[in-house]
Amino acid sequence: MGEAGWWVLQRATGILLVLPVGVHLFAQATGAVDLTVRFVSDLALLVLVVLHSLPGLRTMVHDYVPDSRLRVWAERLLLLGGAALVGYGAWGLWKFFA
Amino acid sequence: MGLRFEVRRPAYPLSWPRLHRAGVWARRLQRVSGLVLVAFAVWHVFQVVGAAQDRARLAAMVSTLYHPAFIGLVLAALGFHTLNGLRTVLLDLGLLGSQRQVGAILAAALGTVLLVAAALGWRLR
Repeated sequence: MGEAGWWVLQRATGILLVLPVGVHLFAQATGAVDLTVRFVSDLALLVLVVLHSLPGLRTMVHDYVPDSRLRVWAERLLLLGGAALVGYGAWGLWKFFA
Repeated sequence: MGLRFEVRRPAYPLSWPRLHRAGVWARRLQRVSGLVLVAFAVWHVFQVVGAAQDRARLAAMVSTLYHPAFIGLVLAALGFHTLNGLRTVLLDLGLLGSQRQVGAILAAALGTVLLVAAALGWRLR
């Protein structure tokens, strides 16, 4: 993915995050949200948080890691960590709501 | 023939140093709040997975999440990151002039304070 793609990903996921974050906070404060809606919203929140944080963390890697080979490995590590967090979190949410 | 000099307007407005400082601080805070939120998200995922297996851990997680200091920290990071991020998007799209940056950053900070105050008011009521 090119730099423009990362830029769009961060902005788009940032805007999309407002809805599931709002639902999550409202549900925690009131408890007045259907369980299925909460599950779907929390799952979307998890995926969007990871997709939003990846470009930000990648920017930090580019700012602070001068070696290009190390940067590539750090990016791979970030992608792997993000995928693992989504998988682990989705499994945890499924267990939590079940 | 001869040299012609063109009078140009300065590239930056006269308030550039103030504008620049505010932008630098907003960028630093955006980065720090983002890191706080990433750390919180990772911690929260592990807590939820633990709570799904053990109800005692659920009680501990809820107790931590509803602690006023924790609410204040997380919502301060979330509020500033969201509002300042919105400012950045508006700036990138050309919908917010550079002359209004200091005001927009202050508005983001004020919005964050109000959000945290409202959340703590709700928690401590």
